[in-house]
Amino acid sequence: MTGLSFADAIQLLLVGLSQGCLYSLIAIGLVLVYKATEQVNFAQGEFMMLGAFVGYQFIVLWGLPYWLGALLTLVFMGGFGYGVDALVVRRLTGQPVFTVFILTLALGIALRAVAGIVWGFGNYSLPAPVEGNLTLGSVIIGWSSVLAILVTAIVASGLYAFFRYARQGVAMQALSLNQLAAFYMGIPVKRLTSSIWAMSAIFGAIAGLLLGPVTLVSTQMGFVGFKAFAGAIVGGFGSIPGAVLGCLLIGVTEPFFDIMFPTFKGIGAYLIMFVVLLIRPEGLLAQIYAKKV
Amino acid sequence: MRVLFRKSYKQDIRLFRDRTQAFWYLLFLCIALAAPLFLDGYFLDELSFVYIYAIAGLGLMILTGFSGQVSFGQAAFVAIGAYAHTILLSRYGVPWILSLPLAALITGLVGLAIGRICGRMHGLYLAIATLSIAIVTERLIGGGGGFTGGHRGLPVPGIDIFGIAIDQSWKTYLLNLAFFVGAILMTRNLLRTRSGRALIAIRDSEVSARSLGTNVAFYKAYAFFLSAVFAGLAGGLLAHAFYYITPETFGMGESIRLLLMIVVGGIGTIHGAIFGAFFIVLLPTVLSWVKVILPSAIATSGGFDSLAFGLILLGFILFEPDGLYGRWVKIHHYFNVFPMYKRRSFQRQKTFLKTERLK
Amino acid sequence: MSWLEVENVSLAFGGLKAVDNLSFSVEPGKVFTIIGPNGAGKSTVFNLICRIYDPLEGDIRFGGESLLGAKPHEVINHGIARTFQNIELFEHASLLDNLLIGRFRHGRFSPLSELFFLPGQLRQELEHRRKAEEVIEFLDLEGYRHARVADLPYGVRKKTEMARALVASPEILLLDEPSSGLTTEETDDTAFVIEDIREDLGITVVMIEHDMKLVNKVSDKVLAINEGRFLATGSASEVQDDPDVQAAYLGGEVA
Repeated sequence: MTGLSFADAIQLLLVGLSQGCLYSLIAIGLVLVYKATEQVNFAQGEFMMLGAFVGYQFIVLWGLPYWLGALLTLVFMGGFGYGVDALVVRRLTGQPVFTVFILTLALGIALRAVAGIVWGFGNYSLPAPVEGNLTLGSVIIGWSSVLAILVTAIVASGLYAFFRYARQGVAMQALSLNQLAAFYMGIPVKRLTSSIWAMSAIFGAIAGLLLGPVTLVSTQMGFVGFKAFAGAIVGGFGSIPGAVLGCLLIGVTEPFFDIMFPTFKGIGAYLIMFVVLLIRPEGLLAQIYAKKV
Repeated sequence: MRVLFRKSYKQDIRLFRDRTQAFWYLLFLCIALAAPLFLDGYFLDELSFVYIYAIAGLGLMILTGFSGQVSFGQAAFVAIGAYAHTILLSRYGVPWILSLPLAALITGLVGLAIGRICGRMHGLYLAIATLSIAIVTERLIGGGGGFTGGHRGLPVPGIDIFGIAIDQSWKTYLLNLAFFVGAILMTRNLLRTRSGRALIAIRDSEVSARSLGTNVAFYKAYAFFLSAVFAGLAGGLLAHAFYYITPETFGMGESIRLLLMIVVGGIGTIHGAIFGAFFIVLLPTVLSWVKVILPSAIATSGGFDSLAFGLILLGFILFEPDGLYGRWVKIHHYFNVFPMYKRRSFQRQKTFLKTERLK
Repeated sequence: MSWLEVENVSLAFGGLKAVDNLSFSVEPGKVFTIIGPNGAGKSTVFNLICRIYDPLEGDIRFGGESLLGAKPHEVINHGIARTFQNIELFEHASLLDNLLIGRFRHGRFSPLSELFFLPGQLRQELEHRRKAEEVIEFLDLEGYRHARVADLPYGVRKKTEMARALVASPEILLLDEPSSGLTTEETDDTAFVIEDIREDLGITVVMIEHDMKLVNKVSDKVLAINEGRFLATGSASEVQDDPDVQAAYLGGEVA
């Protein structure tokens, strides 16, 4: 890395950190659903995209004040997530997990198409929650990026505590440990599962609202979701701290990789994932996956 | 109502269950061979695409349907096959008759290497790992500069077998048909022999497959090898069909489409790959007919095709997870046992989630 | 004929010792039963023999040869086949296909011959089918040959697992709770089957069981373990009269 000054490196590091936090928000949504139901929501990236578009609708097209628009977006997306589970995914209880895999894949495709039809296939700008930059010496970082980091930290620690200590949280984990038993024990499996999907959609929407101002809102936004997947895998899929760790790792190393190999921009995340998987096939903070016979 | 009498072991091992089944399939083959007589170039080319996609689909079926390794990377193998074949033909002047099998073999070896790495991964990890292979391969080809033609792509030379130029639609059609039939036969042979059974065993229970002597890692890699060879072959044929290849032709989107193709067709069956190929290739044509009767606002919007595709897929997953072939089996059964058809004949046991994660 | 020797074997999961310095040996051609309360480590012993786990210490020998160098998929080549406590069948395949997979070790990897179905293949396939049919007849599974295993009743599935292990022509058969989940009639049937395996097929049987009636009926020798440790060994009645064994099952002090 020739000509990269210390300040530049710090700059990249901070940018990478906030980017990693955005990936984390998406990944947290993924892991949430996975922890409770062992279902993988391939459309998580599209949830984020939808959140950004809905935000665009409220804030830009209808001109609502930012925070009101953002709140309405989260409410809408929460309802949307709940609805997706209640109306569609729930029909597939009792079927192998692969089916939900494919279902969410199809859902992602449909969502992308719908977003394009409703709002268009171009790039649209979304205002940032907080304008302006924070200047520390020669390092400049947008307030939005700082916000991303803060939000991720709060969400991650909050969820960790929730699953560990809160009754609802423990109940949610019971869902995947033994779904049939959970039904019998009186745990409201269907309602809890839909609530988890709602939470997951909300986190995706938050990520969308934070990412939108940076990369512009478009139907292609959701592909960032695959990097979140990579991050969650690096950290060990199924672990929230792991997902955050993995995404941060990817977020932070990506910019340096892109500078070193400009022709291969964008594949750094996946190469890191492969390296980690070769060394530790279950991910860094993995939940062990072995069948007891 | 036809009753199946099993009178010898050979009956179960042979390709066709009985004379009736043999008759129907040979009839299809004859119709397919005679197609150039009554279809024009456009439809022959479409059918060629169906055959080629079916070959790639069969490869993916071997990997995902039979050995249970969900792969989003099939398009990457198709890309490698296409590029290897094109580069061997145009840059190194290798005769076509060698170039195609060589390209398929090269792709197979890459698949083998990936299979060895990915053999230890399961489910989601494998899916994402293979997906990232699709993404990375696309970028690597794009960044390949002069060797791969980079993002501008490469023109594909014509087919020339021992001096005979295969340049007309009906000639390429027959060529693709030949490979298609060959691929089907090989897959069937795989399934009725030891290795095919080993793959199925691995899909359903790795532990007991091991207890019966199956080297799971080896056969998983073998499945990758085979599926990559099929994909490489399809890639070479596809290159000729497109006349010009670019990295974008074989990206991640294509991988996802291939996977969805075999799901719609009916996962885990050879018919499924074929039905799926028909679906994928003919869908745009069918949609274009449908668009004529729809209000123009929806029809001209760019997302219509994708939306239709996504919705059809959703429909299948929700209402007919066994895909097109599954539905066909049910319809066939209905007429077979008429009027004693019961919907419960096809009801499967529900399996509830019981996690195998230990922490 | 070979015999199975387990010598001073230990295994721990984290801090918990699943198997603690256990030793026993199995005579050829006999039925050897392992009993013990739940969680005693019985299935773990099987998993150790089948090389799913590596013991911390000790040795496992079969026919005088140590098994510890073998990989899990090589165990069958030594002549050791097993069934699983929670049935591990190939759910989406037919019963016949399950058995044909059991013939795996009797073939060799020959990709070209398979893919092009060269003449030798047909001969091999017929041979495999013949052997599978012998076992089907032995266990009365004729009517279920082509049924999808996932749809079969529990008792038939248990028999299928046993059939699959038998098709591999083992010298020693490890049965993990063969009668669990079966009705009384099915359990009696199982007793007859195990006796037939010993008498007609000359296969040594090592069995984990809880059903004492079955244990008493077929066992030549019994081993009782608790918490991974050796408790007592001898004939079925000797072991059941042992005070340590009774204490382990019924509670009370262990001397």
